Amino acid sequence: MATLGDLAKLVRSKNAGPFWLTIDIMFDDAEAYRRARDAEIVNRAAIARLYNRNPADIIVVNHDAALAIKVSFPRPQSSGSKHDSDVYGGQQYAPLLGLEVPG
Amino acid sequence: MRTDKARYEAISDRAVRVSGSEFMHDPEYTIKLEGVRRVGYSTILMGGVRDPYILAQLDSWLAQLDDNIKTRIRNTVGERAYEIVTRVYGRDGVMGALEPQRGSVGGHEAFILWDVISESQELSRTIATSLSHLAVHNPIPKWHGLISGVAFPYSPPEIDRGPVYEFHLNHVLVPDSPTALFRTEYEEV
Repeated sequence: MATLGDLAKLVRSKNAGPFWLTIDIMFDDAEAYRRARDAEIVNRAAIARLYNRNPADIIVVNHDAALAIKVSFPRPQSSGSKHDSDVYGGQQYAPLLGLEVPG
Repeated sequence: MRTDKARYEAISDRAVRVSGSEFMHDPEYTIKLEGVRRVGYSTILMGGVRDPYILAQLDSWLAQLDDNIKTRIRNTVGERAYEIVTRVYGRDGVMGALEPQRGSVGGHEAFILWDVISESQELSRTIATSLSHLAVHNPIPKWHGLISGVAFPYSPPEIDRGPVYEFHLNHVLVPDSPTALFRTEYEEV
């Protein structure tokens, strides 16, 4: 079965201000985007499980016009603080890549 | 900015035309206020572990090191505040609390970054120097006698990093007027 990493053109993460992380899953093919979107594999429960976060804090947006799925949630610690390990938040998307996309 | 009616069209391999987004004026004028505070001074240590017996029990080995450094510091510099942040690359160094596969080291080596933070550079360096000695000789039950369990790429292993900060202010202000918070001085020249 294809994974999100197989289907997406680009998956990336970055800071959204010092207290939030945001992840963009972008497609260059409307069919692939709809397949990932309609499978509903990127949802609050899945993100909460993968990242050990509270589901209530997670925002998932399916952005049809941009052929992109956007995930945002608060960082466990603010950017650059003592316990932070990724000041720009650039390497926080990897757990999503293995999600299997049916269809 | 409202983007729900925005359109994104590729007009070449390198350019995108964006149209349909809309700027909405908020009736209230606000100012974003962000600020940091200094949390202390940092001295870091970097080291690698290759011994499979240490890697197999890395958590307890690090917990023992943590106990030993606390005792050493209490007996040498006394009751002064400090913190040691330990990151294990090869396990959860990149993602920390967000790492879903944080259980154990999967590969045949690990990189450890220790960050000592206290109120002064001198104290952080003193603690880091003790930590480097205790870490390299931190024993495991498998081996009898003094081990050298950490490969430091540099000597001396302690690296001063200077003052370190963290975000502290994150507020939205509603000023009396857009310029009320900004001092303006006029001079005749």
